[in-house]
Amino acid sequence: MKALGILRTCFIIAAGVLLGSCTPDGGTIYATIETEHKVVDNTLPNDLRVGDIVMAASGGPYYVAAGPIYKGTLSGGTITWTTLATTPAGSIANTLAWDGTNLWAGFFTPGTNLGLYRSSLPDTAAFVQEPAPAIGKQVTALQASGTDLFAAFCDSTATTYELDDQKTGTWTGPLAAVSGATTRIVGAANDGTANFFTASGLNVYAASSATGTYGVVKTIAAGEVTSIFGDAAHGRVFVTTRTEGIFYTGDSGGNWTQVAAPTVNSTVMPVLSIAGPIDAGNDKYLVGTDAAGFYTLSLGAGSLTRSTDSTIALYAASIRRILVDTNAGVSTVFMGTNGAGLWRASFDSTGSLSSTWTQE
Amino acid sequence: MKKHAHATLRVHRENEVKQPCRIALAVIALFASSLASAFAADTPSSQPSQYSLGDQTLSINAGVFVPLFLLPTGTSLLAGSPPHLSLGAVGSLNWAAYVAPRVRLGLDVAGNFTVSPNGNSLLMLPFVAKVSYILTAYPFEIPFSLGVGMNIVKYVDKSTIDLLLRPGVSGFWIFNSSWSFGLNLNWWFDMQFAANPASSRIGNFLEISLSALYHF
Repeated sequence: MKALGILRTCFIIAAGVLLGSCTPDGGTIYATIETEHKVVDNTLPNDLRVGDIVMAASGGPYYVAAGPIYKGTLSGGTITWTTLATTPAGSIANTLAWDGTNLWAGFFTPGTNLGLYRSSLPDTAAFVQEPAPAIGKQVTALQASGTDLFAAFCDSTATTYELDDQKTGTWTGPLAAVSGATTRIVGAANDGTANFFTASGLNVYAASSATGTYGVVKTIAAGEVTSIFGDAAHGRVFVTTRTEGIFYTGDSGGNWTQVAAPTVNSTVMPVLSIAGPIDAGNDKYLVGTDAAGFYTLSLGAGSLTRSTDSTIALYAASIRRILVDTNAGVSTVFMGTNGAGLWRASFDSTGSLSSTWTQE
Repeated sequence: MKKHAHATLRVHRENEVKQPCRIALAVIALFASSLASAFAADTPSSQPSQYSLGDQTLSINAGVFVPLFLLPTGTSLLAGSPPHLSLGAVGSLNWAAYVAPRVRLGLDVAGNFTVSPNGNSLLMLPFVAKVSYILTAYPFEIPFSLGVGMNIVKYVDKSTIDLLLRPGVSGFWIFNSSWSFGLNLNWWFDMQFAANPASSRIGNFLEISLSALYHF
């Protein structure tokens, strides 16, 4: 009887564990491990918090603001990184712009906003401070667009932000009516026409010229705008938002199309950055999120598709900046993260990943 | 006097060299005689068991977890530089009860991990029902076992529950009526059936672990 009892107990337990041995949607862990590639690790620290990425020309050099300013020179598929001297020594850069002649940077030291600096020869010539309008202010965004350079500022005690524009050495600003906004001005963008765009808080603004009067052309329902990106070659302007996904216009702000925010386990993912296109059809853009890595946006399908490689740290990173450098059908893509370094890979003309990722 | 001292030293050194050989030979002889008696003609395999119905055992095991290969692709998990998975570690607890003098039925809870090239940990937590048939050749026991159960597998953001088959063989030295110590070799067939059959794999792993077994 005792043996029967033990047998019955073991049988019930065995049946239980066997019934439990079934994952409803199947498992692909071993198939994933089978195809996992080791990330190439270059010389930059892997815990960089990237503030901005710009390129001087297609193929580089590339400049990265991540505390220090790093300069990257691409040769034979590998980037050699050097650190630029800043003025004053040891100051920290959080935003960059390349206007075709000068590398512009917003500098600060812990506890002190220094303002806007520029250097025409970042390798050799020291950064010099721009006398107006930004001395002592925090530079929150820089954007070169054609012959215009936009700079967004706030000072250490300000509760408002301002946007200024510089063309051929002359500053105009603060630009009405976006200046005075109580939330951060995230940048500026051009759609290839005379119209320029900027965004702050819930509002997207547009003006018929870079220094014109800006008016609200789009108000999002909730959250806030996190970045603005202009694809001048294809007449598009995109804004990313914290809770509402992505909005874009192809008619200078007349109509806006929304692509719903991605979700992970039913949680809405904030969208932080966007760049592209990365395909020959000019349909696909790369989208960076807060803690869910990157997605590919297809305008035609109106959908976001998450990257599939969950084996690398980029998969769950917060991607603050994306730079796409397309040359001869191949896009070299940089993704700057918040604390997980700078990543680089190539995408082919169909918009598909065509190399392994390098953690620069 | 010196000559005598040298001779004594040489003999002593020879003894030093021969001592481990003698121990090894003794162990081999003991093992051989144990095997001989285990496979003697009357009970084809072993001496009568000293345990009976209702006796129970508890064992704790720890050792190395060796990733072998995946089926049906044949991917060798330790191949490449770096390999798909590193050597790992495994630990387990097992309870069992005798349902016959030579047969134990029980449950086994284990945990193990290995690491991928990008530093991701593959974690497994199997719950296994296990049957063992024990050959005894005092002072040794050789349990042959088969475990069947579920294996909770986690990797990065993925987790699955797989069917696990785990045949194995162990060798135990019976220290006294309560304690035995030995070595386990278990082959893990972890069956991971994906919704897309092309992604289905059977993971093959080898567990090599040391064991302490308590009878009560």
